[in-house]
Amino acid sequence: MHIDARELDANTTIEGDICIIGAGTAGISIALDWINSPFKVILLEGGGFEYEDEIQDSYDGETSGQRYYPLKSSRLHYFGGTTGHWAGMCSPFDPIDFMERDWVPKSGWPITKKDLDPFYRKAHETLQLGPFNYDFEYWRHVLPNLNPFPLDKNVVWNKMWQYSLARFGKLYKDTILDAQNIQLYTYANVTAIHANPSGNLIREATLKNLTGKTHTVKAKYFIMACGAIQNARLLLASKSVSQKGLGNDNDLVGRYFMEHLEVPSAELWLSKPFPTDLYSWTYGKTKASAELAISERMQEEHRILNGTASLVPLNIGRLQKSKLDTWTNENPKKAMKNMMHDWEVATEKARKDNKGAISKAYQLNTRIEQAPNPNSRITLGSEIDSLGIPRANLHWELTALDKRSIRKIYELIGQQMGISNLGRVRLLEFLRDPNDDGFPDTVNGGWHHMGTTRMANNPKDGVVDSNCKVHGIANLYVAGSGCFTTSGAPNPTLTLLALSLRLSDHLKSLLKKVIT
Amino acid sequence: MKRSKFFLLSLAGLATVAIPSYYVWKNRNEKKNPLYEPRILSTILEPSEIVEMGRMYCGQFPNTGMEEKLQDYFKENVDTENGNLESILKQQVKKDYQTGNTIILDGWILSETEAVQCALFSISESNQF
Repeated sequence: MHIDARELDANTTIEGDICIIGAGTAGISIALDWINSPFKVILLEGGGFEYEDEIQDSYDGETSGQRYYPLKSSRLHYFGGTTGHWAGMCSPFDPIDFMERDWVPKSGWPITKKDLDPFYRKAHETLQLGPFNYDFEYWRHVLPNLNPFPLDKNVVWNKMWQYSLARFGKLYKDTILDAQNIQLYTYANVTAIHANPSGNLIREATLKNLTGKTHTVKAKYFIMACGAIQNARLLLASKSVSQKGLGNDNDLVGRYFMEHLEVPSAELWLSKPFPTDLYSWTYGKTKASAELAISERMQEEHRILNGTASLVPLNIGRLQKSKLDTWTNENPKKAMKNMMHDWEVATEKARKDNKGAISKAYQLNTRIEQAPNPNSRITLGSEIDSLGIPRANLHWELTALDKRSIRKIYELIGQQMGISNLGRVRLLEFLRDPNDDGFPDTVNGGWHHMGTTRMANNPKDGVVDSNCKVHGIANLYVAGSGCFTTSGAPNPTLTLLALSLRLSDHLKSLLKKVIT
Repeated sequence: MKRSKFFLLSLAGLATVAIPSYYVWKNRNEKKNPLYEPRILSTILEPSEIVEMGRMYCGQFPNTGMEEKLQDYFKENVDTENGNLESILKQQVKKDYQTGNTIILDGWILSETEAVQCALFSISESNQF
């Protein structure tokens, strides 16, 4: 069922068993999981079914530190969320990503990869991916011409990816609207969450929209699923009990903001062309491909972060501008268009310029986790948006470990290429000085926001527990990549969806207990 | 023109072309001494780029007697006497990468042996002109 909150009488009270705040990847996935259950689910979306600039405006905010995209255009604010224009890249985190690593400060999730595996499998269905199988040998037999570089897999291995074409807004709209026990409210922005006086139970949430109407939602359980930046913003702005905000007794909400560093880092020059489709990807066509990944043993031996390298033909890669230089528009649609245009121009120019020899050369692009850093954080700004909520500001801060890890990844790949005699690797300028810990302002993020409500067993180390429940509050949960303790190398959607489905499963078991 | 005169003149003309060509060929052939030719790099880079990297490598050391010093590197580190030199060098390059005996020149991650080869190539090229 769908209700436009602008059409409700002012001061309406909405009641349900669970209230999901946000109808993006996490929120819709959880709602789908509750269809045909005996529970009434309220799904709140701040926007409508299409992009509207005045709705998107609430994502605007200032950035400082390492250069970043305009916050307003870094996520999408309407039903379906950022799946409205995502690339669909999916790969699970590695077992090491969940472990405590003594060389990565504040690493170690309270859950393991095995805890997530059943939910990864389920997430594959929601994302309409192939089988939950990321073993290279499996895919090598399924798809033609996945010829691997002959490298020592104990050092560099082929990490497989699958590609989703799911745009949740279109794919699941009818399913959600037809569900008897799901009430989707559009234009329903939560502006504050209110706890009881002792601060250990959420009583209700306040909804507002641009018509000026205010409503109230009451539920047994609340799940925040607005994305890592907006979840942190809403917790910090909900000050009915404490000026620090909700769940922020230990000053952790908003801290440990992490991104994936996506940056051209080196060139790979082969001595002769190497025929393979393993390392290339075409949107809408490629079912599975690989990136060069660093083994867990090497990560431990060299005390580096987890990261991978993808290959782009050098004649194209050299002509592409930094994404930070093309994704500059505040409007995400226009920003996307600018970036795609740059890629098309580069590809066309490369095609015209290609003189043959360069077909042996590739640009190596890093995709790497960011080390948890408390100074990399979301805070509330002094400016308020049109609904009266202080805007989110981002201070993105990288560390020496991030830089050293990228450099070491390419030294290892370079060594492997040398041993195999396949070719040689050339570091790009910013990696050549081992004493330089800095990053140029062309270092891209992947528009992946993580870590702002990080998971830890101890409330002094994290905002949520292993079930994604906010520490100290009995009925408030957070869904999404904000709960990531560390950020892994792969794009976050598959993992955040698996984590959300695990949270959903946990809540079902709690509500079943209430019934019985 | 008498046939014998024509024959002699033709021979002289041929010699004018062939003798310098022989020396050019000889010089080129000397440069193909495997010590002076980093094999993989020569499939990737232009000779001028290898020369530049060789200069960078040499720039790390005092300038006198550079070629001898570089050749000494091979004497000390590579058994160039027993077996096919090209094959021996290939194995040495591989060994360098395996043991981490690498150097970064102009961003290139090279084995030390390759770097020395670049330097020798660079010196031999500059001796040409």
